[in-house]
Amino acid sequence: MADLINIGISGLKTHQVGLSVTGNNVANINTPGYSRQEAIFVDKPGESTGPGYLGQGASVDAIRRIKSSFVLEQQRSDTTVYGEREAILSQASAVDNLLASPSTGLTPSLSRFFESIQGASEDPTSIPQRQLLLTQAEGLVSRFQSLASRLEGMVSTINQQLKADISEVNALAKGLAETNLAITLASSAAGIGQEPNQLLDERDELLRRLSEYVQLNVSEDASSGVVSVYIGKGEPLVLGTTAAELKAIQNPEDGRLTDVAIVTNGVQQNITDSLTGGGIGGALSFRNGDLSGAINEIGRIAITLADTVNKQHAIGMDLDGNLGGQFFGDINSEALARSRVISNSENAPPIDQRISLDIVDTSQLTIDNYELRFSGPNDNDFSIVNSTTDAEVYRSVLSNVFPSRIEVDGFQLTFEQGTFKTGDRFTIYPTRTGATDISQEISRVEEIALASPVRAVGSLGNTGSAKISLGEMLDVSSPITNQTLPEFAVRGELTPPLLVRFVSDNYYEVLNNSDPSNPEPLVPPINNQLFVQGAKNALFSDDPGSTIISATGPDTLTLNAPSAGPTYNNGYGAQTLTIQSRDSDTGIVSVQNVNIAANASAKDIAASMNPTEGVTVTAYTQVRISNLVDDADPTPLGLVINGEAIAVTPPALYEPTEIAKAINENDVLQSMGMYATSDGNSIELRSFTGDDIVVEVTGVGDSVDVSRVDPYSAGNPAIATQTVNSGQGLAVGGSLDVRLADGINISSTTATVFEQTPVTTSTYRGFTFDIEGIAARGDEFVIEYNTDGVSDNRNALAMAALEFESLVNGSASYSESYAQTVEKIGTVTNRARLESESAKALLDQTTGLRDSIAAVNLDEEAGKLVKFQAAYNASAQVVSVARDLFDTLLNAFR
Amino acid sequence: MRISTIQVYDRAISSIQDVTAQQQKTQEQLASGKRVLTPADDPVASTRILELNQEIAVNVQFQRNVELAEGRLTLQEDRLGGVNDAIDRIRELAIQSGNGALSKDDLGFIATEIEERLGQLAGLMNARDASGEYVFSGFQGGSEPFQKDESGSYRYQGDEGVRFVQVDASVKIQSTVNGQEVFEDMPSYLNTFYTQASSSNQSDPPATISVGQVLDQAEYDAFYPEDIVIEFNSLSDFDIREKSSGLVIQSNVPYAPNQPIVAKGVQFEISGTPLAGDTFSVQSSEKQGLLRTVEKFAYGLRNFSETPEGRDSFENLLEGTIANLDFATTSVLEARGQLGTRLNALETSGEQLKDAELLTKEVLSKLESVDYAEAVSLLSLQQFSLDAAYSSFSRITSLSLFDRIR
Repeated sequence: MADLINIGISGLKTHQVGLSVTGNNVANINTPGYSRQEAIFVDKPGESTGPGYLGQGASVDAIRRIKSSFVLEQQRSDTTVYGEREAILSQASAVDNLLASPSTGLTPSLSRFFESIQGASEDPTSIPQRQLLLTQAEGLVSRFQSLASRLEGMVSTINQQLKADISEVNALAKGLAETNLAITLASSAAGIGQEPNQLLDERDELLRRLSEYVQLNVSEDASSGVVSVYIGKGEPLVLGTTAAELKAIQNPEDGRLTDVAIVTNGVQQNITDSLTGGGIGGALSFRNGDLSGAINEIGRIAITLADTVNKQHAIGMDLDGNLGGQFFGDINSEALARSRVISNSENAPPIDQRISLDIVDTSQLTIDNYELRFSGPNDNDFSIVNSTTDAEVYRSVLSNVFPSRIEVDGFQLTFEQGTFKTGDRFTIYPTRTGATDISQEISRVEEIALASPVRAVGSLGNTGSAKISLGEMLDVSSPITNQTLPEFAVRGELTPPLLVRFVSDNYYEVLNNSDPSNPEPLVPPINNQLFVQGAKNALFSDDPGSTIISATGPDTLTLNAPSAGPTYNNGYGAQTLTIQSRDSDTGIVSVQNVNIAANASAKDIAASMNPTEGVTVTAYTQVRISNLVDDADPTPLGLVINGEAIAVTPPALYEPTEIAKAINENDVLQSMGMYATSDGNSIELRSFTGDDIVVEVTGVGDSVDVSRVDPYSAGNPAIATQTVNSGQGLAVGGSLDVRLADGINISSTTATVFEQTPVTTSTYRGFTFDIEGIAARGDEFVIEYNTDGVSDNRNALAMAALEFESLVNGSASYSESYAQTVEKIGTVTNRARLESESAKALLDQTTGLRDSIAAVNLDEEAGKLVKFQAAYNASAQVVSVARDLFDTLLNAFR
Repeated sequence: MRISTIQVYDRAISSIQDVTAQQQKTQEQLASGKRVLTPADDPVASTRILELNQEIAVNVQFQRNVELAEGRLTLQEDRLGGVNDAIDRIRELAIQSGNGALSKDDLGFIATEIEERLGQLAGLMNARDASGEYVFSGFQGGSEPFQKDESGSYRYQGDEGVRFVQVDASVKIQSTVNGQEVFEDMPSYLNTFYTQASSSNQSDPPATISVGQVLDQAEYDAFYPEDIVIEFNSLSDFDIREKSSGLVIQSNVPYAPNQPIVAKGVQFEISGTPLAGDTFSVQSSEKQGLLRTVEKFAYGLRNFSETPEGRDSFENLLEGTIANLDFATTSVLEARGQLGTRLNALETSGEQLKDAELLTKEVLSKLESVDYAEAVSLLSLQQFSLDAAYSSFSRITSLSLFDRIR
């Protein structure tokens, strides 16, 4: 009987617990992280009786928490992935909307700017058009700046977000450490096999929330249920009952970025680069990757735009007749150049280094950041590493002489001063601040240079039909020395103005036209240039490195004995020339020897040198015949030029003008390219081809003076004069002008025709003109400063054309480059959206799995409630039966 | 599989949220008319959209350039038409003046009209556009191209600059002509010359040289095509030289301001105070400008002398004038022909631009615009699924075993 009561009571107790557990499940249906529980019933050990073991009722063995460690782990990892993608998506969408929106993007401002240049080019004198251009330029600059500040704003938003995330992680880590402690205490207090279910739920929920922020590595002590959490490359965030602390610190390379450090036992360690996953990992990777890339790309567009527009504007002429100067602010101003290299804050003192970065070739700029590392073993050993690709792009040893310069990827680093030590690091940002730094230099509408500073005018006296082109401006300062070209050194003038004069139908010279009534040879000279009739003839070199060497032969003239005829020697010595040319792309130097025979004519020397690539030689001969003396004997004075007797009939025999006319009428001499002029006193005889000019005198007792003249000085003064007597002859050699392309030089071991190291002079004038058509002797073209050229729009057209040129990185126009940036961010956002969706689906699935195992089902609980209630009722009935039985028994003895 | 109650609610809510989000987007597409709302919707298309929009903007600017250039060319064409008419009238007068029966007085009347016409011609050639720029000045549109010098003759002060306008990415069309090309650079019946003071002269104010005239054509023809240089040795005398050779023609000629200087058959005057070293040149030319031709003719009419020699010299002048007027007509007609060609080219470019704009817009709309039919049907489909989600939610959640336990 007692047994039955006990059995009944055990049933009551047990099902009461069952009902409580069920009630608890129902109560916690909406508690996050709650795992449903169930009471585990066992039957009590039986009592041995005669017929066998008799059951003693039921008891609750344990209240079990239903969970699946594997699913929980999976859920954490899916949470981490989803957190990361969500962080990227939310940031990327913001950039995406910013860049492509017509009201915030770059494209509309860019096209309005160029439209206004087009408009101004159509009517360059119009002040309203110029005003519009200025306004649109301001709009473009401010659009660049606002884009940059919005993007930079996103960087600081991410920084703020990181700080908030870090304090949340710290709170969670602390909570976890405390929970661990509670679990330890609870486990030791409770009996074997009994788990502190509520604490474990709390622990799992804390872990899940942590996994939203960063990827975790969790290890659980199976016996105690205590977990340790590692992040990054195994840095312990929570070790049992102690929690480390995360800290927001400044990035040592770039102070505007927030980094994440972990503080363990008072030691701080930067773990930014090793953090992945979760909100923190996602924000970091977007900030340091695509966002930084977009900022750099827009910076590069701004720098390229400012640079290319400035270069074109600088070679123009404004409404006041001045050279253009800068349109946008100088991209390489001292302050900007220095701001692009940042000393790592971890560098050891002294911090006295100063490095500046000038952008020298925008077509080669990348969007990457770089790091300059003094990586040893010696203090001066350094390398430059592309931070994006991690590739070393430069390695050298720093010279001890400051400033020291190196050039990499379109920028030039100047080490200005300081002590550079092994371990020093500097971060190089060529493009990052480009869009922030762009500014507008010009402020007055008159300063916009729409015209070109040079113009050419054909003389109305020209008898030929050749036309000179409008001309093309290339530079106002030498690209090699960066100095203003002498042509443009004086404000509002071309120094010197030039006169192109045709000395024959096929040869022209270019003279200094400072005094139009008395043009002088230029220094260096442009004499005797071949003009190809009908073709387009370029007047000047467009090669900034082109130079010229001139040689005029010896300063003496030597008579040859009559016996030496018919060959007369010009007295030029033999010489071997070494022509070195350096290929500007490969740097390979090739050497070529040219042998000049003794007494070779200038024409022959030119013919032997001209086949060398990059060498253009013009040869010409000019002699002066003066002091014609006749001794009045019966044989009159006679002149034989290059074997041709000059026939002049008396009495004009000694009239130099008549002799010149006779020379010009000689068909043979004409076919040799000879031409004579006379001022009434002497005869100037030229060979345009550089043939030797041989003068022989006949007529007993008669003589003439023959002079070699200096073709490079005003008035062509005589260098050497020799009297040629009757029966004698004299050969005069010609002059050579050798034009050398960039990278070519000439030397010789001896000095005869050419010096050993001939003096080279630059021939680059910063502009070119073409003459095309049929020219005639005496035709003249004047090249002068474009004074009052207010209606000229050549520079405006050239500036407008920049819109379509592939200038950014040499491969895309400004707007194409921007479109690429938009596409890149669009792709990133698109991918983040898809990945975020799939990560969400995965997370939903795992959460569903967890819920299907561990979450409460009300119907199920309702069923259990009914079930336990019924059993409870039945147990009560058992007790009641037992009591009845007991009563019956008692009544039997009454 | 076991399902927990929370799953039932979560799933229903999340599918409602999904459909709502999709519906929101479709609604936005319909409202904006755009299929691609942000670049992320279609990165490749959005880049293309940016490029196409840029292309349209540029195209529109080119069309504006075409219109402006058309206006400019039409203005020039109009002025040149006026010049043509004036030349015709002068030519009529010239032929009329050839009538031997006319007296000196009659010729004087003709001269008066010719002088009127000269002023009219100069006015046309000094035409300005709406913004006040001189049309035929070359690059020097800020200054009048044909100005009278001290001797009262017109001289071209512009240059040979011409302007181009960009009407397509690779097409530039010349939008201006210069006075030198149209009104100066034309053949002359007789060899002639023009004078020039050196720009490096030191006198201040600069001494000037008059336009001058040929006094003895035969003597000048013999000297032609050489040029003459006048160089001042001092304030009071100068040398005359042949430019190319330096041959001295006259030396130490005493200087008197505004007195005729005669050399090699040409006559001109120098005025002002030239300093030593100042130079002036007389450039031979086989060209003579239109205004010069008319000026000479007016001068000849005014200074007609009723002697046989005078009559002869006048007839020579008349012959030359008519020939030169014909040259001028040819030059102006040629310029008008070129203007016509350019206007044609502009029209063609303008049409091509409009076609290209249409085409680009079509491509753009294909890329960018939403297909309304598709979007509307999508919207109703989404509406339908949302309805379904709502009703299934209410049905599923209304089921509970607890409701049945009594």
